[in-house]
Amino acid sequence: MTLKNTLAIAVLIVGAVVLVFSISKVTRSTTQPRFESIDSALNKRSVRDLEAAANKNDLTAASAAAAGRVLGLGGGISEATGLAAEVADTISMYGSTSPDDFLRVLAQQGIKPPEIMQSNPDWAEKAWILSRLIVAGAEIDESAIEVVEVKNGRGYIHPDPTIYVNVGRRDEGREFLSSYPPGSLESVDVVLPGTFLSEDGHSFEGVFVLRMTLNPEGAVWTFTEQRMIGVPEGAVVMMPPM
Amino acid sequence: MNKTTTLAIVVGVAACLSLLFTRIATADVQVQVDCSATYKDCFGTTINMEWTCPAGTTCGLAYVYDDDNECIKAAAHRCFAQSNPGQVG
Repeated sequence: MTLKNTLAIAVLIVGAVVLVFSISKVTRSTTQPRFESIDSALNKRSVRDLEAAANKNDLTAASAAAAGRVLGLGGGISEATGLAAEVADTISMYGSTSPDDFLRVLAQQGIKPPEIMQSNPDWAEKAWILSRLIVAGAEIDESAIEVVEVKNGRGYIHPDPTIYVNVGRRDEGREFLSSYPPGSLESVDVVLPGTFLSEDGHSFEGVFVLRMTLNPEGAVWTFTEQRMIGVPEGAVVMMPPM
Repeated sequence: MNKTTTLAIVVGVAACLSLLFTRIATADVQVQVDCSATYKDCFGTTINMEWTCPAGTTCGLAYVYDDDNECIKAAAHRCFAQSNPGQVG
């Protein structure tokens, strides 16, 4: 056997081994996700600390800054003055220590309140303080607030496509949404970047987004969706009532 | 060049390309497992959660339950080790 043939057989064997190894690696890497639910031991911080954090910020500065951004958008938005007022009220309602402002703003925008607020108002009153922690306990960066027009259902998109996004909707309370095809109504995203606090005491950089949609019946801008972007793995977050 | 040499070169090149492709493919597979979960919270809001977990882990959801109203108040997305889902998160 010549040296050339020996070399060729060696390359053949190494190639075959590499091929088998690489195929088996692919097979091992494809796993299907499986869901497990667990109860979580919460509250590294005490409830009193969290309530104090939630009551610290009345969100006046953030609501004024967001309304100012709306008015600065120019003539492209329908009912811009009304939108600025509804954005300010929607942000401010989470800064209030009582759910009364929340209920007032929902009524003003034609939204039916959550059923539990009527069936169990005592619970709702108690739950209100902590349920708005993610917004009211945040340090919002007022200078970085943006208002983004939603086009073809796409509004604000975070630059990191792998970041965790938590989306909340309660379409049952917003009956007009079912009368129109999804994405057909005029909407804007109000983008509130800042440092947020989870229920179990994680502090993280994130973005809270309020989507406002124009209800053609009465031309009222209505709060229709909320997104919390950037929650770290494991952090327990309660999305505020809407 | 005889047949054995030609065959060896072809297999060698194929193996190298395959290895390169596999490295790229497994790099994609290894960075993420797509996870999603939807639940209705105590206030009737439908919460949709979408996240990714590293390969070799499973998607998990930790939640805080309100015993008075039998509803989920808050939740966290997690990635569990496959061997012991309750331990990692």
